[in-house]
Amino acid sequence: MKPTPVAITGIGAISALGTGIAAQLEGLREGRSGIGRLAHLPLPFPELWFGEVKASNADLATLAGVEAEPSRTVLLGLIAAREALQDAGLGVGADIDLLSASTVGGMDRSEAFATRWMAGGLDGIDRAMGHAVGHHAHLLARHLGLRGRVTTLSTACSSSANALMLGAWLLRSGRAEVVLAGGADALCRFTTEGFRALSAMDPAPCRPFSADRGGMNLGEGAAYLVLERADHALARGRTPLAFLAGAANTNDAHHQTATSPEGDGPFRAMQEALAEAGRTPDQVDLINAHGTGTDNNDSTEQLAMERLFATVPPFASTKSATGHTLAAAGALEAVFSVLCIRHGLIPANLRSGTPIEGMRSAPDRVPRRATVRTVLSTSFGFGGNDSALVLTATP
Amino acid sequence: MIVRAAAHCTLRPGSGQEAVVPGMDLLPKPMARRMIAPVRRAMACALAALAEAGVDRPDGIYYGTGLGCLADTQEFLLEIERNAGSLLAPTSFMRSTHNTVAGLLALALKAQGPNLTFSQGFVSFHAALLAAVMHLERRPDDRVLVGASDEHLPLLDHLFAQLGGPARFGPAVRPAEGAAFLVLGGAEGPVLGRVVDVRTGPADRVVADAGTAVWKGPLVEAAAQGTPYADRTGLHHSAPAVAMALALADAVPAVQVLDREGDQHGLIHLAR
Repeated sequence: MKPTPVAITGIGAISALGTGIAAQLEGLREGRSGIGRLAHLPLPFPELWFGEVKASNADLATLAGVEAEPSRTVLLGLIAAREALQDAGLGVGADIDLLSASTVGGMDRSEAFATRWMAGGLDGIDRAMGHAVGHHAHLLARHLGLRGRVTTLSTACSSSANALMLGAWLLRSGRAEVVLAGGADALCRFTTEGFRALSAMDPAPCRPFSADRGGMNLGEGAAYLVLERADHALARGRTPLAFLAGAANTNDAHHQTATSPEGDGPFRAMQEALAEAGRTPDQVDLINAHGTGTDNNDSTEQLAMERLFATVPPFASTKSATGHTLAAAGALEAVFSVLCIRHGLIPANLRSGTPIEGMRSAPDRVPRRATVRTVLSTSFGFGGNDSALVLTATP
Repeated sequence: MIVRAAAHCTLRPGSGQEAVVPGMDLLPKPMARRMIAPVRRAMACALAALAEAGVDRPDGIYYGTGLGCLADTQEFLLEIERNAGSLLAPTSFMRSTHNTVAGLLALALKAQGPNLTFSQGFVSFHAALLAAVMHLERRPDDRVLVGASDEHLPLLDHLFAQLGGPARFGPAVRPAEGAAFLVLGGAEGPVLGRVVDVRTGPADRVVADAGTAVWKGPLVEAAAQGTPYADRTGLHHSAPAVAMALALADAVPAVQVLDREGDQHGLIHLAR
């Protein structure tokens, strides 16, 4: 028996492709890249490439409609979450649960505190109050006037895919009526220095699934989706945009930061998500791949796809356009999946070079029109954390 | 949901007392050597709870933490300040992701099921427990590991003082660190107690009669003197998990673990 269908009735996003859903769609349709040098954030990395949201914190605060400046993560989150609520026809003060994902939260503020602390003072420690990653969700709920459950998921790069999965669990268990699920992460020194220390950054714009790929480009952004049971959406006169038909999280249990050679964890996540959705691999029209551009991820992920699919369907890593938005990635790519279903679109895996040696499949290089009814979207993170979502046109 | 086993530890900085940590002998030696002490203690508690429940490999791992591997995060933040521009060592960065403990547990146990980490201040553990309960509602024969841990840093003492110190939180309450893990579910095994209900959300959805609460979190209200377990757990975001383990060990017939983070409340209702 198929589980109760979970309807998606609202979406909102901000990324290097622009602010709002219309900008995301236009960027995907045109095959545009949001990757470039930093132009708005005062971070000391002139030699690196990023998927920066093209706005200063002051610009974002104006867009978000807040006077004080909380962390950039909160500003990005507010803009995307508000758009999703409006899209779903939900007002402020609604009885909605918020499941938000973040890895850095208010790290930009903690960095500012650390600078002062090193200079000798503990004053300004209140600045670091937003360090607790859950604080970003608390601020979002407060600014949005949400009066439900507030929970932060933090499982590295699969965080917001897991927020969506947990949203489906809450709805199906009858514990929630409407869930706002997604994630937000801003660029900061912490993650940039960290991934650089891991030699995971491509010195050029990233080339996922290419033989000569050199790593990832960090991105930033936020994306939120409104989830509710299909009958609940119907009862309040909303037509679902798409459905979250299946979701799964597995653990690779192989290495803290690397995927097993055959991609066992990713394989099982994709398999379990499809099983929950009641779909077979041959029904998948598009894979929105994790595709960070790192040596280890892309080869193990592609191998896992080739093991699961007799013929691998069209696939692309939209991180080639947005950079890797960390905790926001799962939700951002779920939003892209909804757009691909709604607008009949196969997005591009930009800058694809020679395919990875030994693979019999290759990603889609240019955007094109096609009928898309079922999308598999994957997100994998540190700690062997592997998630897959199945998004569909019908329940 | 049946609770099969529980293990916990508390460390009080400056007390001069060593933490009593169950399960230290169960840690895989090569892995233990690479871990920092608080992570080692959390993992030892998890392994002790699993051993007591007779579970080799849990079907899911649900973990809460308020601040994650805070010492590593502080280390990497300061490293960036000290050595800006040069290539840094990545270890403390890698360990700064909040799902480090849950990920290491999966690795040590070869546990390939769902592995979720929650962070919502003082109700982080409540969120993890709720997810574990939902896992067991979906798959009733599974056995899951659920727990929480948080670290102490001297910086937190400063923050504690600035937030009001003992005057606000209770005369005997001090910042501390700790971990607690529990095994839930399964068709057979020892029975330690039962989770009757777990809720998180705004007060009107969550707060029942809290008269039986063994842990009424420090931010629920100023009346922290009414928290009989606070002296034993100390103050940290994972204290509610430790309080739950303590209450089960004390065989309290029916208790509640109530806490608040911002506008969010968390409530765990336990019975024998």
